[in-house]
Amino acid sequence: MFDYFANPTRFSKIARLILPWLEIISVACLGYGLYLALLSSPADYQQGDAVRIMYIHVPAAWIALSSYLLLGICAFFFLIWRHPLAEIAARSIAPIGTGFAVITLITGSLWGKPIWGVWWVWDGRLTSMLILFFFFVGYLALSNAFEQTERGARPAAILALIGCINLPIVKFSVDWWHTLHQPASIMRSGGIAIDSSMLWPLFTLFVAFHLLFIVIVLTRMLTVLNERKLQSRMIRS
Amino acid sequence: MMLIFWHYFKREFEISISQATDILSQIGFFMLIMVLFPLALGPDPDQLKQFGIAIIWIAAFVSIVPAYERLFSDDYTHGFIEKALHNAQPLGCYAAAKCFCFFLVTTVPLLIILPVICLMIGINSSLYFEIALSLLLGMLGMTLLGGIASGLVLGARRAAILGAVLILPLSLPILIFGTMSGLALMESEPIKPHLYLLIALDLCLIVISIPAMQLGLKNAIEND
Amino acid sequence: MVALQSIDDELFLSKVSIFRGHKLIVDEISFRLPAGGICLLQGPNGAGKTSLLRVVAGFLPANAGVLSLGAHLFNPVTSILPIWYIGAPFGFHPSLTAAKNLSQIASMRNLSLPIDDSFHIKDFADQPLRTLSSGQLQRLALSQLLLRKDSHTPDLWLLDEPNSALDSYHCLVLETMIEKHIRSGGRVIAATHQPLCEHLSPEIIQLEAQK
Repeated sequence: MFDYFANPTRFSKIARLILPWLEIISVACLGYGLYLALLSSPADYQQGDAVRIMYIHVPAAWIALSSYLLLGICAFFFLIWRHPLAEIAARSIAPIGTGFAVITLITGSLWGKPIWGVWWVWDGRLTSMLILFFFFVGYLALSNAFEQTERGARPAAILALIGCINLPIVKFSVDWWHTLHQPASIMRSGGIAIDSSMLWPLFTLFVAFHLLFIVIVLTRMLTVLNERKLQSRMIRS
Repeated sequence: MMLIFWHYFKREFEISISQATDILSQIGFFMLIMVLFPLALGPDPDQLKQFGIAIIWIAAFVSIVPAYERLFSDDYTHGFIEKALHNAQPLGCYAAAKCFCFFLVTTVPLLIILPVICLMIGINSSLYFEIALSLLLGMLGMTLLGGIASGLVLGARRAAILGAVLILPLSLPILIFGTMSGLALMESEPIKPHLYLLIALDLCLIVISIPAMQLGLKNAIEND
Repeated sequence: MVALQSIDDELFLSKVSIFRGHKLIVDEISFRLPAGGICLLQGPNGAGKTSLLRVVAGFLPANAGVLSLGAHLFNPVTSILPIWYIGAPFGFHPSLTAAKNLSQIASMRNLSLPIDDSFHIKDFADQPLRTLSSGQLQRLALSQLLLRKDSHTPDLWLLDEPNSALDSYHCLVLETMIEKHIRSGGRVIAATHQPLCEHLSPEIIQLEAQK
């Protein structure tokens, strides 16, 4: 089943078929979710309208984290079975994951200013996200550090795999560091009792962001595939 | 296997001895960073004492990270890694010996001057052995991370900076547990749990790093 | 019952192709090398002589084609056939002396130092390697092939331009050494621009530069 879809020609055929539909659905979902989140959902009684940042922040954070995981999975497939599609997928996911990590950090900081009064707090979660961002930066730097781009694929894959193993350890150590340094909790981002009126827009945007992520990744993968096809055609002629 | 490991280790050691100035400049760099902190933080002894162990850890990390790039790059350009491939032992054996030797020749001098450093920033010298032990464990983990990064960046542009970008995020747990042990020490709390965590990290890193270095080196040869 | 691989089986390269990046370097080269055989790779610069040697040495993977020893696939790194690849860079460390470098190689491969000093290593044994000329370096590299072992196994020698920097006297030494090696059942694949061991009538593989 995996082999069936991993054939590059078949993959691009299927991807090209479903991509327009995905685009339409994701844009619709995003529009509806944004309407719900920004206009129709109630403001928080404590945080006011600032709470609306959450609707962007939380799905972005989720995607940033899961895209690193996905990166590790692709790296694993590439290293073990040397499948070119896995490499292309990893190459396409990394910048997008970085983007979402940046969005998470920026929205988090924008959210933090009105709520905690500061742009940045050395909180466990924030620090972990920052480190995740550095993991992405390392991956991008390594995969683009060689004269021939293909040369960077395997080192970067090894790095992604090691990063995936290390991520829980980093998370654990940062949490531990945080609890020892700041016993009194300044913030309670998890403490908001989520009402269904807030849950529904969050969920919609959650789905929308995932669809958007898939759309961008597929588009990038198709682009890389076309690029390689063009390259080999130029060499042949 | 052990015999070959020993031969590799001996070779490394002989090379390091013949390049002893590298070790000296390493230590000089470490000392310089240590001097920078009091100049920046101010000479207040209490403050220095409070931050002392953290400063030692940061100085040790910062001084060692640029050196990791050269861990494999010399042997790579001289064609020794290819030779090691024909020595009937997996490359991991060579890489492990190399890292172990690097760890010894960089960390032992560090521990030798550590009492002087402790004196300078006013840390009680009775704590020396605990600090040295945690630093020893931390640097072992750092060397393994450095070995991974050094294997991955072989043949890359601006390899030294790239190596640092790869190592530092991965090294955070070591830094956290290491400075935690120092903190516990200053507040005369038990230090053992922190040391156990460092040992656990080191063991994990040994398991991860040897195949990772082997893969990285093999890949570098194939693309030479 | 698996047929045991014999060290004297024929080494066979079947339609080996090598790419570097997107460029085809070696296009479907095939040849056989029995025990006691010598094979010269010839061709202009960029024809892939070194790449082909490195594939046989196991440094590069062949992008297409098969290497076999007798009836078995030939994996250079794990094979029972000991391999010596002699080509620049030679794998020596520049800050150690010539003698030290040689004895390290010997101990790593579990061999003892040679008694006959055909390549006159003694002349510069105690100099650090970085002070040596390229001819001296080549002599040092070639004298690795004189390292002795306890049991007799006919090695595979892969020589990349072995005589490019040698003086005429040491070229003769090299030729005698190769002849002795072949007579005792060893194999040699050499990439060279100069004539080498013509009296042994080596098999010549002509490689073309690919466009």
